Amino acid sequence: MTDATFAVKLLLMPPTAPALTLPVFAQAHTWARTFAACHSTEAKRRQVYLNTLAVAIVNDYLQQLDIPTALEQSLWWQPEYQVLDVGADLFIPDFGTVTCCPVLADADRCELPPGEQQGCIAVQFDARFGRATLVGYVSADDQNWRSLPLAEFEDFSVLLAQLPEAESVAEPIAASHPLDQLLNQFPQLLHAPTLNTLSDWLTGAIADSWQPLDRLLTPYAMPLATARTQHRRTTATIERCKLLTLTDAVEPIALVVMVNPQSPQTMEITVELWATNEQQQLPDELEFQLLNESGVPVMQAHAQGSNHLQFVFRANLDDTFDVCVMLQTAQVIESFVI
Amino acid sequence: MNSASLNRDLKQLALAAQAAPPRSRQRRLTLDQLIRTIQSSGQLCRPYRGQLNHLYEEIYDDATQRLFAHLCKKIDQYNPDYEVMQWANFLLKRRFFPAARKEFVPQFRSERDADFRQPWLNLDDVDKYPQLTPAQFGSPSLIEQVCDYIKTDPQGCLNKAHLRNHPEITFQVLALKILAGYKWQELSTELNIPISTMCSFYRKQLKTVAPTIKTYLTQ
Repeated sequence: MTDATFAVKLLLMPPTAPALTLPVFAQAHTWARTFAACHSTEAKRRQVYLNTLAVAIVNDYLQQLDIPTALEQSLWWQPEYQVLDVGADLFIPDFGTVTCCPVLADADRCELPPGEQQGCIAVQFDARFGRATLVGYVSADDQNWRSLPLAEFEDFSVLLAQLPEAESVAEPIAASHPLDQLLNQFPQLLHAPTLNTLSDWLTGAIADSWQPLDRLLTPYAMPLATARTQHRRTTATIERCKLLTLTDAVEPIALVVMVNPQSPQTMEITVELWATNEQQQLPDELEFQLLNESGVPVMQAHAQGSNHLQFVFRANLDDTFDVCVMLQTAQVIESFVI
Repeated sequence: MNSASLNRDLKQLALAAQAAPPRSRQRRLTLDQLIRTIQSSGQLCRPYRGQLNHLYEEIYDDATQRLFAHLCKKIDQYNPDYEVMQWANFLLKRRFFPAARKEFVPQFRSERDADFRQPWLNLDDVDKYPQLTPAQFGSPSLIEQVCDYIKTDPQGCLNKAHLRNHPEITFQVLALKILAGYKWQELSTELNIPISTMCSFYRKQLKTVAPTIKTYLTQ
């Protein structure tokens, strides 16, 4: 099936995905609370609060789908008229208004108000008003006030198929996010198993690809062993390493990670690169980078003849970082989360 | 749905969305399906369960919302060499969850009271919420001005139209009842007119007079 025939099929056939549930964003609550506070009776406040949330949710989702809506031209969004019992209408240019009908968590029916609207969208909230489900849409085929079981609403996409198409607007080309660049460079990041979880290391859950220093087999003795005897460390410190093969032309490089817990939430992390060749020297052009969670380099170093490179930093639980090693065109990345 | 057929469906939807011009029906429909399929798949990861227990759900909701918005806006960046779910989970874990967390956690630190966790009110609280005073909305409030307008009809435009076959039932008559707190059901019984007939007339008239009222009040 080609993409084009698939697209046509979508238009003709009812889609099968369950209704979408969206979080009720904080701004929607702020609007609803502000509008409701303008009214003096309980019933009115209740109605205003619920209608405002429903309109805000639908408006937000339609905008997310790049459908132009006009909240400010919707009568509902002019609080002075709410007292006159306007419907919870959202105005969609070149289409008309849709009424966004709030439905409480335990209800199984929805009241459809009569009026001039093109149709009604049922928006069902959970008991704490933290999430809202776009139950479905029903076209206004008559002007009768009626109560419709939620199960009889049509799929939300029925509305989407009716809304007018719009000219696409040329968007300014945004600078790509550093993570997009990182992903282009290292597509293997998409595979979740590559993530190393350092708080698990402290409980002994360490992947076999990471070896204790004394078990690492290298062609020549590393200068690392002597360096470590002078290094101040606590018994809680965990140290592991693995060999990185960048190209066949140079000896593997040892990547060493040392985790030193400072508190239940923070740890001091040391990441190092060590030469494993006879000369005890890293390749001159070797580049070492520490990337933050957004993929932006926050520490970098060039080998230029040294026998090791080192970054030391503190990290909190849930922090994410990557270590990136580059030699000419060869590059290796390791991702970590605390 | 097994994960092979899920991946196949999602890839097809993503490619169909890319193939459709921005703002076309086809793109909206496929994006809507894409988002709904991802949400219902149960395959979205739940990253970083470390220290955020009390706020986790709010942060997670915010993060998935950012993710969905991004997928809709940047579907052209999807690279079909990978699965949509891999891409979505990478973005959620690496970009949108940390971004959402940044937004929530500092707030939490500065305001530890229980109100923060639920920055809104439940329905019972709405009823108790103190009414804003006119001063907070300008004095007298726009709502009061609208009520006065309905009562006094200063431009004589509220009684121009009446309900068909009921010359005594005009917009002003109905609006005054609504302001007095009547429900449509009660009005229907009292006036012996079907709700839908009355309400349709009322809403249509309201849309007509609203701009007139607004112009008058803002002069």
